[in-house]
Amino acid sequence: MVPTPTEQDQPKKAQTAPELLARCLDEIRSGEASWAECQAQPEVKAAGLGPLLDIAAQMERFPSLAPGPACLAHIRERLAERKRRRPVLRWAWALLAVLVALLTLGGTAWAASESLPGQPLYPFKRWGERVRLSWMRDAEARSTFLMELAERRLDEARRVCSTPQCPDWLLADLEQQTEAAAAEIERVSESRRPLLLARLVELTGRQQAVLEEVLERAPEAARAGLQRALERSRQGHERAFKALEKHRPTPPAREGNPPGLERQEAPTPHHSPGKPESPGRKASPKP
Amino acid sequence: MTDQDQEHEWLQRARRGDPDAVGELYRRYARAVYRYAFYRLGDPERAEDVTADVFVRALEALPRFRERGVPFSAWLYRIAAARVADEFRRRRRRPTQSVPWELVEGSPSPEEKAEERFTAEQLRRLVGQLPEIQQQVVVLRFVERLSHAEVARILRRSEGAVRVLQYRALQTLKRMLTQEQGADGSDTD
Repeated sequence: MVPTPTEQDQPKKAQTAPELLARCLDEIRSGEASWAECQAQPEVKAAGLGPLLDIAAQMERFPSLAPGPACLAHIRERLAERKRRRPVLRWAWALLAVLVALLTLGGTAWAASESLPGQPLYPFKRWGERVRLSWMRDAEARSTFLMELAERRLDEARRVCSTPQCPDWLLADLEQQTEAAAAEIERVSESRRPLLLARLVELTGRQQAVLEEVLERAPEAARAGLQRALERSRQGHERAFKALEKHRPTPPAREGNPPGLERQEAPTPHHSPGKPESPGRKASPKP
Repeated sequence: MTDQDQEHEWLQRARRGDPDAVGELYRRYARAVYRYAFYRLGDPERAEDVTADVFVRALEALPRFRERGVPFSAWLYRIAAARVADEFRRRRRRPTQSVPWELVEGSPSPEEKAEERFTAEQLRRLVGQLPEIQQQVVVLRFVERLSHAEVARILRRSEGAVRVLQYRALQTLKRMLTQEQGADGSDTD
């Protein structure tokens, strides 16, 4: 077995030039050796560290700068000034951050409000609507907002359903929101109900007009859904009209008519001859 | 009470907003930070700005400063290094101004003054031309007279890496000095 040499037996490991330089500088700084003594060491000479030690020595004699009293006072002044200014800046940054957030949210909300089914921002639009509705407690406000939502769905159906991309759920949502509006109207006080029913009659009348118009241009795949929606809208229109009739006071009818009813009758911008008239249209009192 | 204990107490008091403790820390370290900033930037006014900024930042961040392993001075040098780097990024031009002799402590003889000034000016200018990390090592080692271990802690490097950087920086300075002297010689010929 070959004996392993101990550390003392091994020749002293040769130091690299950076280590040798560092050791020399440490010795000088601790007072163990002078600059000259260090430079005279054979290994330092061999490594060509003399000129480097000269430069190090010159740098150690760099003037020890100290800022004068005026300078220190100036620094203190700046410190105090910065400290005074910081809270203002912090508020300014906070305000800016809030503004940016509001603008971003506002921009997104605006862009989402213009979006159509199938577009990336459309889910935000629907989410915003749900949130807003969930905050409403008053039946009149809820019914008004639901009718507004049904109007939006109708507009979306008008723009989307004449193409093959008409989603079934859009027409289902249109029906559901119209029915939900009718249900909310039932909860409204008797005195306020006629006005809302008149709006619902107007809405469902317009739904029929728009859906009929879309149906004429719709591709085959979308026709069945549109037919069904149209039928449901007619039923809803009839129910709303009957409910409104119940609230119509006995003669003299003109005095008891809900305000604006005559003007709110279902418009038929594209009414085709030969198509059955809506009950609302038939029953509308002539001035 | 040791110096370290004393500093620990000042830091505790400064965290609580004690103005005397803040003043004490300032008196203790403002010169070192100013010196460091000046030898890195070579501009007394910018060095003042940096010193003020370093203290403002340090005092604001003091509640977050933990004394585990890193002395307060090392923390200040780190802030100063980041601030100097900002200055370099903002103004790409490297410093050319001379040492503000009116701020130099002590007064050597006129001959010594002239010779010292020449060497110091030349070397300081050349230090400003070193790569950033080498500049940091040279200033912390030879101007601030910190040990290899202290420099390693400030720069978050190993002591071995600091030794190598120190060696490379001195070699680069030697080469630059030789080139300048050669150029001066050829100018005079």
